[in-house]
Amino acid sequence: MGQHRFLLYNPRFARARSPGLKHALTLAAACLACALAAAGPAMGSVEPKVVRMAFRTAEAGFDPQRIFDRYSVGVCENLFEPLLTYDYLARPVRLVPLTAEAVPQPEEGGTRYTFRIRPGILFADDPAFKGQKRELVAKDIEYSIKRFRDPRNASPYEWLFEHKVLGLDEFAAAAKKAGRPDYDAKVAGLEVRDRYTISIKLTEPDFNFLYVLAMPNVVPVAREVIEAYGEDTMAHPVGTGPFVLKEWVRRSKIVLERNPNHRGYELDPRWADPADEFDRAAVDALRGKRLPLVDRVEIYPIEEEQPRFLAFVNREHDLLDETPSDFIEQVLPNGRLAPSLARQGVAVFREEAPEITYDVFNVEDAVVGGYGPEKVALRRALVLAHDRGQEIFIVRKGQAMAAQSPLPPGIVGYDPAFRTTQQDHDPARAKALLDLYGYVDRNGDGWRDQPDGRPLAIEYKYNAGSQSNRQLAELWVKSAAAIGVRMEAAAVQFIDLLNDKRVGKFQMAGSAWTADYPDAQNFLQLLYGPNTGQSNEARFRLDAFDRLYRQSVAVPDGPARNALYHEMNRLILAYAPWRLGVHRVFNHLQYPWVKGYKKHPILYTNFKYLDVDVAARKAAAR
Amino acid sequence: MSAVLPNNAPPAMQESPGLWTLAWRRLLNDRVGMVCLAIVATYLAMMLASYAGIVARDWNKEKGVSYANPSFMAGAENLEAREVTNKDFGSKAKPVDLSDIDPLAPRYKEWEERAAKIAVTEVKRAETLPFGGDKWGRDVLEKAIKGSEVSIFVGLTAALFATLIGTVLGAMAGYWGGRVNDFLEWFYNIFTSIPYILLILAFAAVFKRGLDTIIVILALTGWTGIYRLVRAEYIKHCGREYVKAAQAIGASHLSRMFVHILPNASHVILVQLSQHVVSFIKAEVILSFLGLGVPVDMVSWGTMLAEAQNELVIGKWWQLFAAGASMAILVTAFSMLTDSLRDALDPKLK
Repeated sequence: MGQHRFLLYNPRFARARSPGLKHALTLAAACLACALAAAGPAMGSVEPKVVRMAFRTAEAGFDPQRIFDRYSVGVCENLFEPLLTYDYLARPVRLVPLTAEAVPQPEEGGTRYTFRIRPGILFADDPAFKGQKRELVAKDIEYSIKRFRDPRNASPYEWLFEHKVLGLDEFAAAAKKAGRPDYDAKVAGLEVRDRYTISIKLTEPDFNFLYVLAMPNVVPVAREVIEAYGEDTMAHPVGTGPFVLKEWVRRSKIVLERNPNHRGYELDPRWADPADEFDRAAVDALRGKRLPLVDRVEIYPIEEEQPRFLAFVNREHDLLDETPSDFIEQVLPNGRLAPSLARQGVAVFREEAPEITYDVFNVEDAVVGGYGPEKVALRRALVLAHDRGQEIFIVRKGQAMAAQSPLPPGIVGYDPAFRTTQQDHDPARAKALLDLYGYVDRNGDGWRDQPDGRPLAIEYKYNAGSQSNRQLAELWVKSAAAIGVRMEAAAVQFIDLLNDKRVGKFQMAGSAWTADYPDAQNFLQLLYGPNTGQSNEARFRLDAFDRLYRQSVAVPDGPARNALYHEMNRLILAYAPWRLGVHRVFNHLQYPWVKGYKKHPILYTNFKYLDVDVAARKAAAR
Repeated sequence: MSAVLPNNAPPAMQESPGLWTLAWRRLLNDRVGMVCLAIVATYLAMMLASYAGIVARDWNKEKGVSYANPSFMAGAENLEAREVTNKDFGSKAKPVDLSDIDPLAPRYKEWEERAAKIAVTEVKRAETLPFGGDKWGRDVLEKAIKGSEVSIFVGLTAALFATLIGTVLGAMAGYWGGRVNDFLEWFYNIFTSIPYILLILAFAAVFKRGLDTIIVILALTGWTGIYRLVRAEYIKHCGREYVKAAQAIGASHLSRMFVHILPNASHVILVQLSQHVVSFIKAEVILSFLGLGVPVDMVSWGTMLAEAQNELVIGKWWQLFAAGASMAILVTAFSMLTDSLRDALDPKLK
């Protein structure tokens, strides 16, 4: 009976009518649901395949051009389809066409990319289409790229298309002036050649641009839908993806169901690694089948580690994404899967994720900011004071690797030989540095003061949601205290923290970044001056760095570009807008009835490639 | 008419014992009450000792390995005790040279010289601690003692402030009646129309975090019950003869309110005070558990319980036990003491 619960509330059914009517309709739907549920088994219906899991953080919404958190974007991966995507099994990752017919070759020296969309791809049904089937066309791509520059969207990913597409900056400037863009205005760089062909002309060469068009939030939306829902687009995602949003209870439940309009995929086994057991199992389970196989996905955002872990252990969930490090000894004692889990057939997928955690200094702040030697000395001393060993072995239980540069292993441009001592735990050098630049105790209260005699106190903002964030804050406070610097930890809600960081209302805060695309550029843009107010939370603007960044964008992958990356990494270490944290190692768990599982380093979810052995799950429940 | 005044000095009158003496005598006879009083007094002594730095002074020192076993479980396996190292991260490659771009480069030499002079001592970590260690290897027993300081202090002061607010407002409403009463009732209704925990959370979200904030929050949200009871007492007493008599001899309003009526309502207030201490200790624990309470460099029973929720799953029960038991004993003792106080102070039970 539980499987039929979704009929109780169908948001599309109840939407856009008067509240009274809405209740009546919901009630009617509920009665219908009961009747159907009772009749269900008699009708001999096949049991739906359901995947249940938790997100570790709450989602923000599902308007692809307005979001930037990994979890919301992860849901959008299933609702929308970009032009290109990544092969499920190929490692290192490999771009493949999705709604485009082919991965285009760069034209005109890397400044032009032309896509032809496959005809016949349909959007999911929505009242905004007035009962008609709606086909994906080139104009939708044009519209969606323009949306990134719509001032009303305040898109956190606007930088993707800033100083990039010919004529788009002028479009954005006009939109800003008018308060709203004129979507019918022509943009020279977004050339719609026919119903299915769009050619994008860039102002400068960019050899990473194809990666941008594979991002799960650079996806076409339908203009009718966006205009029909106005400011409520976060709750009404309508795309061409394999799933649709069936139910959404903010911050507590997200339900996806198969999109009946979807044409279906097939697994491409060509890039599978025959030596890899996950690849072999996925090919066995999925070969020749029409994907997606799963009927329904239920996602429950659970911020606290313990309930998330227990929900998996108690089989309320089928997958555990990122086993909380606190419980690592329960799951992998001494690095081997625990016998109790092994007996149940649980599999563990170990992922050295292409991501980095870091602490941001607000470089515009009067105390911790600045570019002079005296200001840089304070940041560098704090970095040296931080006890990274305790972060790795106590807070993260050894499930992390110390970062040497902002670039994680596994992405293009990562240099395994790059090593630094500037991020080590070295309190003696930290104290010496502070003494040297005049950060000494002047008023005799036992804490160091600023060189000009004013007291020194630094605020570290952290997300109040989870224990491990509190522990990281605790670690900062005591690491700073060990060199005589007073630091205060301020707990704030996750969403407030994101906003504070975006507008620069902080001194220090924790952050993490996971690759949108597998190139160093995606990490270095986090410190590119013009991205201040978007992804550059540190508000770091160093001319030398920005120059190198612009150069690197216009150079294809190779030693010349790696040399530029090397220089940028050195500047980051010298000016310390960040304390580099760690690259986390994630352990993802699956019950044996989940088939075809493999974690992709760039895409967050893999529901469209999963299968569920319903009989096996039932047998295990007994 | 000769009036011979008999020179008989009044016979040494049996002085009738006052309300407080009687109450104290009754309390002395109440064995449960006395035991609870002793327990509460012990906690208060412990809190003062911890505040003065006599006990649990270096609770924040990391003495043991991560989740060190309690001494009585010395042999048990501890998978969580990892060696913490800061060496050998990354490759063996030569560290990258920054000297050509580093703003600090001109003083590299001076920096190295100074650093060489600063000695760093390595602490030896114990495998076991008397009652086990927490994640960082701190002694859980010392944490529980230090935690009592915050929890009891918050409970007591917040209860005092709440009682003060409740009593003054209640006295005004009950004594003056009329417009004052209407206004205060309206004010009271606003506060009680919002669910209590929600109100606390709302205040906690708005104010800056800190110990003083928690006290203010609890006092601002907790005065309503006291206000109602005190107001009722004042309405009752206002019309009594002794108040009229006081008015007749020209006692001022303030004097009537707080010199004459207050002592007669004080037993109610005292019982309310101790009841609120208990509920505020619990409220502090809840706030800290939800991450809205004390800052990270302090410890309270609430933060200990919040930490312990993950620990229990991995089999490290001692922090939960230490904080939970300390709190349970104090709260139970305090509640039963309140009960005894109520019995002792109630004039009708004479």
